[in-house]
Amino acid sequence: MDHEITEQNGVRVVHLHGPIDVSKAMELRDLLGTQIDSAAARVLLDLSQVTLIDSSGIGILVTAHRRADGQGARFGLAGATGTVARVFEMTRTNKLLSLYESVEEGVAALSG
Amino acid sequence: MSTPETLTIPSRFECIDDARRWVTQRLKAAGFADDPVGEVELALTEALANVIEHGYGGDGTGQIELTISDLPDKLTVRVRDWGRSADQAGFESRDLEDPGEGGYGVYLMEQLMDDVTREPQADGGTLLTMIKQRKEEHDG
Repeated sequence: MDHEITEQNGVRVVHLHGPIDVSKAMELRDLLGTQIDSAAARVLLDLSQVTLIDSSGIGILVTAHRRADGQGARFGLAGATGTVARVFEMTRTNKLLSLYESVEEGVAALSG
Repeated sequence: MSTPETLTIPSRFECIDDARRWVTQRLKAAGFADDPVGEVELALTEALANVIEHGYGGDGTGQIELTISDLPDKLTVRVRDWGRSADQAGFESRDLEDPGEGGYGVYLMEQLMDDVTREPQADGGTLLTMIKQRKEEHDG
């Protein structure tokens, strides 16, 4: 999966690129599993360059959110636009997941 | 895109991207704006994932035939497979009050497209037909 990871104010920001569909689902699960690795983990997924997310991707984000919650870590998503943003609304997962308009906003929320 | 066009892909998850690109190129050439293109891309992704997972049970040796046709008032995408016809229970939308790992696919297809029908075929498999009405704002 095309991505890079930066660190901002103690938050690991995972910048993803391109479509996230079922062919990338296992890779995304492994990537998030590696990053959300302790109670101290603060992980923000930058979706601003993601062109599509399907139901398998949504499911993995829900699981990652619950896992982070369960172990006291923090996990958020930032920068979703267009159909990607709408999918969170359509599935009502926007009420469960921590969604931020921008990476800056997400980093500020998770590092606080 | 005055006449219907057809693409056949193997029943493998990694081929969904090729199918999506193929459809996207045609929609953009036909003048669809970014939003409806994104909606059709996602509906197609869910449809193909369903066929590969449930119709073919993950067997990558099957075939899937896509047909796209564009009339002045609507776009039609057909997905034909020769796998098992999934029972209707496997085609129901999930309970949105209980977010989970899966089951959003059919629900999303129904939300993203104006009409979705699936018909078992006499010689096996299923024909899924998805229709997107052309709206003024979609003509970009």
